Amino acid sequence: MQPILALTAAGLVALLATAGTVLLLRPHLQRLLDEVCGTHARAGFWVAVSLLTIGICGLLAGTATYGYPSAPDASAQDVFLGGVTQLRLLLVGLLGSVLAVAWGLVQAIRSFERRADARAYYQAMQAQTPPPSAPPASGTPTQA
Amino acid sequence: MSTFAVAGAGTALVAAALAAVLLALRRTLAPTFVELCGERHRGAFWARMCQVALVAGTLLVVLVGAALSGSLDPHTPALAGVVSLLRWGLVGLLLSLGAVAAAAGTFTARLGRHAPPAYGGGSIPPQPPPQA
Repeated sequence: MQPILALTAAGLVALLATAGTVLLLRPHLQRLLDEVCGTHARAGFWVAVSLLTIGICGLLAGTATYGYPSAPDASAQDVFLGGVTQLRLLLVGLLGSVLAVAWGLVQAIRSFERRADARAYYQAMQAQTPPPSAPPASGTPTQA
Repeated sequence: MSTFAVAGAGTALVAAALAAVLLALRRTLAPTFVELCGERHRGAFWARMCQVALVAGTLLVVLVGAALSGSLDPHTPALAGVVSLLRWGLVGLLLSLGAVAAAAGTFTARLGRHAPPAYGGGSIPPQPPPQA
């Protein structure tokens, strides 16, 4: 088995897996970022950046030639194991990029919730009614 | 396969990846910067600036990476050379995209401190204060 054939086949699998991940995440990410970002333009930009990051990382990891033997007379088993290593790196890259995007989303949601709490507090101050809670300070949990 | 053919095939793949990224950002980049800058012409300028940075950054990384890794070496198998060029292009795209996203994120946070957008909903919507 030629290493080039194995690399091409595993690269095609990587392309399909990356495209599937991006298509699977896209509608949910769009709805979530529409809510968190506040405006459609910002949400669209961050959806595009997030999905492109996942796609590029997936393709980058899925085209790794790290595991293939360099000797031209390598056995079929070595080539197969090289392909398995390539697919393993694809999964690491996809999972890492999805986790990085998820971490960014969690930060954005926390910031969004702090702003929502602060806005409710200052609206209550303007209306001269008892505020629902103290204004949230960064890093400290709000008291019920 | 000659060195020129490897370089041509790799450049074509990098150009395709670059075009896909620019196409994906085409409809969202300009409105975001118009919103951040407040003026249409300023937003258009920075959006165009980001596109130029994406293209230039990617090509720079491809050229430097190809020289460092020997992708165009005559002894490198042709497909391995093309894949190597594509991988350097993806690295350049990722770095350039990160730089653009960092700039947009910084200015979004800065704008949010001065003029937060009108939030229509959320996981914790503002609650009306309890009546005394």
